[in-house]
Amino acid sequence: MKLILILFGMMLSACAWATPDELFQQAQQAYDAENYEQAVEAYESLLAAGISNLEVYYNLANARFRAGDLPEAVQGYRNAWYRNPHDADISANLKYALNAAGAVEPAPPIITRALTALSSQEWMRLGLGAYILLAVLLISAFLLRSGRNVLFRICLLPVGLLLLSGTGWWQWNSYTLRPEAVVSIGGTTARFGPTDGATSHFKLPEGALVRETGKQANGWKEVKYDAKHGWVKQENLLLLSP
Amino acid sequence: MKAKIVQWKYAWLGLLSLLLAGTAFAADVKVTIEPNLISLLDRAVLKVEFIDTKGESVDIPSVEGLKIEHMGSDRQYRMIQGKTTSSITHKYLITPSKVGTFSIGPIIAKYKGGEKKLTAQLKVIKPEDDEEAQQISEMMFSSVETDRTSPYVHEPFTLKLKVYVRDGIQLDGRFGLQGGIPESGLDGEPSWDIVNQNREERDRKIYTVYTLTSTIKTLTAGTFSFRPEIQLNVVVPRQQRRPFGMDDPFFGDLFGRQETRPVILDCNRLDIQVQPIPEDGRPDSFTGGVGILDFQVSAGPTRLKAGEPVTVKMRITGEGNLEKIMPPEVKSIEGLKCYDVRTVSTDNPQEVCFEQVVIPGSDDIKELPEIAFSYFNTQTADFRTIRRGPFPLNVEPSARASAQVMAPVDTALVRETRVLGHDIAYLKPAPEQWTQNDGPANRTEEAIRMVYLLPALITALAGWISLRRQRLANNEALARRQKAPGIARKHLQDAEKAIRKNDPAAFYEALWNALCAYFAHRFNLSAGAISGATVAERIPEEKEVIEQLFSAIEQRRYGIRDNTESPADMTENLRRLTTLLKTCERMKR
Repeated sequence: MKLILILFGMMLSACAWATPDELFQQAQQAYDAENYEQAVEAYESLLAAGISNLEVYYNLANARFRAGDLPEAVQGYRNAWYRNPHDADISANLKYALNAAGAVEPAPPIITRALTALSSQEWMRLGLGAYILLAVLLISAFLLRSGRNVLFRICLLPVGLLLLSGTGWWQWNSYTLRPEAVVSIGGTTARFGPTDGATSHFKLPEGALVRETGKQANGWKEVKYDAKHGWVKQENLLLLSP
Repeated sequence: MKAKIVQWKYAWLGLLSLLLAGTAFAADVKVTIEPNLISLLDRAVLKVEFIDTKGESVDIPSVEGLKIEHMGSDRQYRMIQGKTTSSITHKYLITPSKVGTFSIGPIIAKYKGGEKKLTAQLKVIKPEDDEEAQQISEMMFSSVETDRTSPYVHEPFTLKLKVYVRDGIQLDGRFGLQGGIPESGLDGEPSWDIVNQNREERDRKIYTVYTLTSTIKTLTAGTFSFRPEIQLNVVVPRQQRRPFGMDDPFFGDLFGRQETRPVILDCNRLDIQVQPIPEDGRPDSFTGGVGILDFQVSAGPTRLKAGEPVTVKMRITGEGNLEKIMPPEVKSIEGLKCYDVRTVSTDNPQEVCFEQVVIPGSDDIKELPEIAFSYFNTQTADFRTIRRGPFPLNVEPSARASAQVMAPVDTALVRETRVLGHDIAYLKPAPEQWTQNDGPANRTEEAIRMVYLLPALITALAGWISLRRQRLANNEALARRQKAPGIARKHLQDAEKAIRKNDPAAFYEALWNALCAYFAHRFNLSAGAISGATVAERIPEEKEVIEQLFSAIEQRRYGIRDNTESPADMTENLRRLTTLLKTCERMKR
């Protein structure tokens, strides 16, 4: 018994002192050895240590998918997608997981898709670049004695970029205001009203990605799924946030 | 002296007693009704007046046939024959609903020093234009009825609301629904439309009848009570009202001859027992449809290779809860991959359309199985099942034997399928740099946030410089004015050098240049136009100093006075000039 305790303590201390690279390596080895539960634990310990690289979210989602935990896999892929929406692997695996769940993939309008082509951080960086460029152009236009009109005209470009990045940022902000969620319990029924007695509207498969459109203080959330709206209990959902 | 003080004392006491006599009061409470004779369509104001005392609003006992509402209170001060009285009046609006003589009271009014029980009388007579009416409900009322007394959940039924208004009563045309509709359990807010207006005889009296209808659907079973409270605005000629001024809160237009009075109509109560959809005999294929419905299905293409998609289009039409029906679907069989059914939007409110993609995995699939749609028929009160299919398919073998994962993409309306692959993409390699939630990336963001204003500030500074430059380019006088101190400073430095060299000629030349250049720039004049008189005219406060300086310098420059001066004299002249220039610089003009 003593020996077991000592070994357990050593394992704990080994985990506590492992560097992120070592933990990541351990997780990958566990994944390759089809020991998915252990891989999930290793990736989760990285997240618990405050690591927020999208590779961790993505690999964790892969491990959860392999472990058969579909809702949390979809949650992980979507979290990774928030960080890099133009990563082909993330998009492909998210679609694959949604298909495996028998869920409909969100079909946002073309403008939303265009605005989510860049992540929130990328829009911020673009906006910052446009802001600095605009400042440099304006300073030059003010201080140079010639070519002022041309410089002012060129300023339209960073102004346009600023507006575009602001719109992109706002689009991502809408995911904070009306967050997405993953259905965590199979056979969840969306109802016409926020009560247990309300009439059933449609069924939601486990792992379906829904968007919140309203909420009530009694723990019910109105969600949109496949162009339909219905009320679902919050306890049936895993919330997402960019 | 003492006698004088005693006299003043008596005089003050006398004055005080006079003042006390002037403000002496007798507390009292009065109840009045103004006017105390009104017609059925008119109103009166009951006033409880506390005179020379304080009093709270009182509870007025309810009187059948009268509606009494507190309107507020006001306070008045009056001086009559040297006496000051104050009063607090609480006002109550009385609206009669029937004819008769009413005694209101006892009204118990409590005040400091006592309590009083009071009563007041009000007589309500028939209105001049409707001698027969004993009650408002005889002049105006409403009734509600329905075509279905016990509908089923989700089954639409119509409520018909009739508003009766006795001939001769004028309305301002607006109907308002104040309540009386169940607050929960209904599918949306009822919307009322006036569908008819006619005249009807009832108990040998003629009424104008407005018919309003609304289609109602319930979300749950149970009893739903409807007693719509319709509010009408009745136009009452001003001549009928008694003159009680601004007391009436519904006082009409200030200069008009009529006013409107809101009246809430009596209505019968209509209880509708909504039945639940029976549990017994409910088919497995029941998907929530209630009403009188039809179901059509088409599938295509019917000639295809294994692995290619077939789209099954389903359409439900008829009267019922179309938007609440969950879609029927193709039953999954071995070798047939079925995807989720999707709703397809349609412009026709009498139909709902669905689509489902199915993929035969091999040429063994010879047909799509039949699709059953069950609904509850509200007319026959039983479940009906409509079956469509099976749909024969001509499936040819495909070169690709393995199953493929298909994903619907793009909008909910336009569907397409795309091969995604056979498995998820592999793990990502370790990142080059680890990002912490509170790591360098976030710290950089913090730093950026802190210096975010810097470019804006620099731009603002550049803009200011540019504006200033432009201003100076467009305003020569201002530009010269701003240059004046600098130029003067330069010549004064030359003068200091001349003192050190003990060269009076150079010194006075430098002084002259400083004086001349400064004032020429300062007043935007040519150097030749500068003289003691010109400058003194513009700065009269320093006239004496200016003239002395000009005179001293000119005398030295033109050799009128001897040019051999000590450095102390020169320093003194330099100091005087410097002081003058500083004084001038401080002047705003």
